[in-house]
Amino acid sequence: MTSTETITITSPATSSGTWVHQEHDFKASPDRVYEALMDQRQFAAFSGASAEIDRTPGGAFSLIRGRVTGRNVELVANKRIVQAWRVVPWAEGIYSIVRFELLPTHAGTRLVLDHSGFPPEDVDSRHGGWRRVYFDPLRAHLEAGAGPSATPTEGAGR
Amino acid sequence: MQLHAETILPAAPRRVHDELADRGPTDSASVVVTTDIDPILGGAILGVAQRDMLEPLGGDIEVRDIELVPGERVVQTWRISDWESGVYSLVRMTLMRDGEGTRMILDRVGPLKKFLAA
Repeated sequence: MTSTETITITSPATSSGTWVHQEHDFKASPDRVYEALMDQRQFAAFSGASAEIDRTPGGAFSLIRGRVTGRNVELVANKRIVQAWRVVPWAEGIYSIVRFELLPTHAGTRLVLDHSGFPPEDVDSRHGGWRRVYFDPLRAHLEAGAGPSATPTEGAGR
Repeated sequence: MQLHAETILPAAPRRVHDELADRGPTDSASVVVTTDIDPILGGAILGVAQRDMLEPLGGDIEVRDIELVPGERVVQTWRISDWESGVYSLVRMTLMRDGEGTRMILDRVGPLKKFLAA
């Protein structure tokens, strides 16, 4: 290769891009929360829609009747899930990074979500969608009708 | 942090794709040592991808393929060896023929700056 290639950078590398940070408490142990997120039968049960999950690192998943797809990047049983994650409306090849950290608490588990790199127009839907599609149904599934836990901590930006 | 960059590489899109694609086992990410990559093509790609990541080019990168479309697109997660555990960036490289070479459009998202603060 010659050294004449042109590199054009059109966005500052110092920008964080889009992100959502949420923390949710569950009255269930980290292993139960982890299993609910990684076991396709449990995921389908709490989400109310079909789910296929290859629960190996690098394995593909398809959730909510194929609306959410991606691959597992890192799995640490009962502690951490990192996924390359996309939803159907996004352009081909667009993925984001989702990280669930499961921290044991006195009452059960604090799930810390960090989601980054999604299209800017999706900030509002991602912010509300996590609670509506994932965490509220997951809480109902795990706590079997128990009341909500501590008030969630949230943030979002672009 | 996010980055959008474009560069022209002196090889056909399929060769660029094959150079980028991780050919390791699917159940584990491969660790790419920069000195093991084609010193011309791979080195240039890494140079673009790592730009502004505050890391020297000689660092090891753990790569996992997310989506491969031969000759068209490579999506991978990248992780620099000394990042905090669980921290990744996502790199999408879109390949288009440009004369005898390839125009590579690289979009990198993450990691969030807070994860690199330590």
